[in-house]
Amino acid sequence: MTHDVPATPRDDRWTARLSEYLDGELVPAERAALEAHLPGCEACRAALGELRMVVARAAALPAEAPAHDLWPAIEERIAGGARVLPLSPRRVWELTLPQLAAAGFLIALLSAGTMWLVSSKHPLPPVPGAAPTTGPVASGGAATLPAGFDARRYDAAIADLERVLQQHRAELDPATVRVIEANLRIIDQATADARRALAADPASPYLNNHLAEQLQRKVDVLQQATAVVAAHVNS
Amino acid sequence: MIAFLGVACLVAGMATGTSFDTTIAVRPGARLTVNNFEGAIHVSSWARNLVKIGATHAQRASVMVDGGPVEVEVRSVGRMGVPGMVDYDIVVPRWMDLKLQGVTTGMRMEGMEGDVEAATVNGGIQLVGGRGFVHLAAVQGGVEVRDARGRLEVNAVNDDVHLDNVAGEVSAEAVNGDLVMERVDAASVEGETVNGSIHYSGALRAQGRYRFATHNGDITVVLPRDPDASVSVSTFSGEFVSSLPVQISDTRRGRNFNFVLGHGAADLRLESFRGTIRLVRVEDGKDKSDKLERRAEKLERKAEKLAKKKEDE
Repeated sequence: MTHDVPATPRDDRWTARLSEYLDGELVPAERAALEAHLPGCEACRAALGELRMVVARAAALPAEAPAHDLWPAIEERIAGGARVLPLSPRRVWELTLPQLAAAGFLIALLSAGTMWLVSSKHPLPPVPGAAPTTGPVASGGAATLPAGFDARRYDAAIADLERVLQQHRAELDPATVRVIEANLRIIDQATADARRALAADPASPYLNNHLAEQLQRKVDVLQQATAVVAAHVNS
Repeated sequence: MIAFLGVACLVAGMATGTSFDTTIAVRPGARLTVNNFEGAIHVSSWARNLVKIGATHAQRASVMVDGGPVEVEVRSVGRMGVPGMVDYDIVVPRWMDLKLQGVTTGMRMEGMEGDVEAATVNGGIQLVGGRGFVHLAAVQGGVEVRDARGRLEVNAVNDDVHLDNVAGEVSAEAVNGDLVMERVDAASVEGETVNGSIHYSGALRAQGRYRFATHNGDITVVLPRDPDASVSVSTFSGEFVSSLPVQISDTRRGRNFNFVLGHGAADLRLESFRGTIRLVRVEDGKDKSDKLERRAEKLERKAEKLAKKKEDE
């Protein structure tokens, strides 16, 4: 079996087709090709997960009439001979109207940090202030940690995802909710342990790595949970 | 009834009350997607280019089959809202790629040679065979893979992962569960859990990368007869025990250290925040077989319990 080489969102021809895929608008061959592409493309999977959350949020939004009817003003401008500019043929991203409406809501809900974190599994970065790796465990991942890790970004992302989960709590099977919450508590405990250990030994590459892994794992489980939400909403 | 696929079409099966049966001819390269809300999916394989779909279902559920030139899509549909229980028994060509999705659904696949992707929320996943890309994920249920070759990604949130006789690239994750990996022959193996133990028994290939990490749990690595690996051990309040004569052979707390076995050809990293990290010889590993058998029995008991629960429902 062959898999597409993972591509960045900019050069991935499937990125712009994800909303059509979600809407069931792809022909079977395209759908199959996209689904074959997804396992090998983390960026597309993350984008698809975000779109699914958008759709889930859209389903939960109440129908509201617009505060102002814009059409009379538009009609007046057209009648007045306003110059009509052709639209650029370049189309980067397509969303249906309900998705656009919900996207606004979701973007307001999820911080930039969340979108950054959920869109890729990052290498494990060190906590600010940690000393350079000089200890005996100098080989491998710990030595290649990128600078600039800020645990607060994880915290913000986790808070956003938890809020989404909390808002859909009632729609989920209570047993599933209990299991997810119990596992989140386990990760929280591990995170707290790692933070305490780091306070005593802030230069430890292992502990920095371990903390970042727990935080990333919580993001992953919360993403899984939001996928469960989407499955329930779609069923 | 056999439907030949030339154009996309809805395939009508022989539906009698609460059962469904249809057979579809497929072309090489076609893929099967099954989406079930509640029940079970059992997929086995044969040497024919036919997909045989059998199902028993609740009165308020029905089965929809959408056949196309490159994909056969099967889904459970509710007559009023959420679909009721549907148990599928499907036979596919060995080469066929599978994608199974479920909410409260147990899954078992046997004899697959194509890619396999399966995800469920409540229920276990068992795979026997499998080539190419294998991705399995369960939230509340164990995941078991045997005799698979290829790129394996296995994830169980609240239960154990058990891999036996697998090869290729392996990535196994859990949050609240053990990882048991036996007879693994892979150039890259990664196993991570938070609240569980890790057992690894398999090859350490030259230039291979092996990493096992847990927060609350022990790690046991059964080393081959002539181990050839650079080993790094990291722990905060755990311990390290080795039955091999390595330079650092005592039990220590809160240490990170490296040592070399043989020429250090493989890269082996072991991390447990507060558990015990053990390196054992392969012959000592055999002595641990009772423990592994108990784990296997535990998994079997869970599967039986699930089956019984399904029967009761």
